[in-house]
Amino acid sequence: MTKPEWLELAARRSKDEPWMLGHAFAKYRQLEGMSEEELAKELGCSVETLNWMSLCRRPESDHFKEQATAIAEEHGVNDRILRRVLGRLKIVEVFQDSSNDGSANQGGVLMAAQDREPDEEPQT
Amino acid sequence: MSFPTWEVELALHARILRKDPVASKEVYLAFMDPISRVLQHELHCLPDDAYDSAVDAVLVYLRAPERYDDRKRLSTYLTHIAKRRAVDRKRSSQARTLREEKFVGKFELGRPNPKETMERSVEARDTVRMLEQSDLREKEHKLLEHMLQGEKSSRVLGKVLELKPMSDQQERQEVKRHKDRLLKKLVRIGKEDSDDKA
Repeated sequence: MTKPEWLELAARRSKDEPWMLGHAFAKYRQLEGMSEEELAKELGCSVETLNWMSLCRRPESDHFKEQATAIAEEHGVNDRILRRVLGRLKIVEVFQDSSNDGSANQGGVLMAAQDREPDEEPQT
Repeated sequence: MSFPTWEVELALHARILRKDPVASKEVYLAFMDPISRVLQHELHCLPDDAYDSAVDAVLVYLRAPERYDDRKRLSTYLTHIAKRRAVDRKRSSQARTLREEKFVGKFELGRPNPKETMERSVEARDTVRMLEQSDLREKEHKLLEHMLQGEKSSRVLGKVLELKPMSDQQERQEVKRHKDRLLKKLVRIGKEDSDDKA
């Protein structure tokens, strides 16, 4: 696929749309203090592929695994790594939400935890 | 690249409604180039403005796809939104240019007029002295210098101001905020100077 001139602009604008993967990637990078290049490296792809993925819809809880896999397959990325990145972000978001409203959102944490890889150690 | 057929559009729209995660990327792929070309040819938009307006249109659709009436062409719907955004962008850019021209006009010397040369060089000397003695920060001096040289690009002015990376819209707002603040300062400096002379 030839890289169009508008790709970087579209990917940059996706950061402002909470339903887009670009927004999730930007949040994850901020959380981990990562550059675009570093995130691309973690996902095993180029920055251009990261930009293309940014234009996709962020997988939703109900179909998380299936949707993340579809995105990963479309872009030749390891779906386990993509799910791990998004799963980790979701856990942080759930914790942030629960600390914002002052109550523990246990259902949300469990849902996010279910999206984690079975062999992944819990973060301390 | 031309617009997709109606059948392709309808299939894509159905995938968007099903929240197929990859379909949004395909909307960009299918529509960005043809819409941008229409804006450049029909409205004489610059490529960057055309892309911005095309992204606006795609995002308006993707945020609320149910608002699109599929008895009409999706390409028509998106192009209509993009054209409106491009016209708005042009209007606000023209208004901004006009404001900047008025403001720059207060400070620029313009073409030398033999009758006014002496008077103007005194004015210029006074203006430079006034600015040197003002409390303008280094970045504000640089911003003014670029603006006096006719620089209007928010991206360039953002670099001058050493703004951290942000979206284009945020950058435009941030540059505008700095310009407005600088204008206020200049007006204040000018007022103080004329009060001193009085």
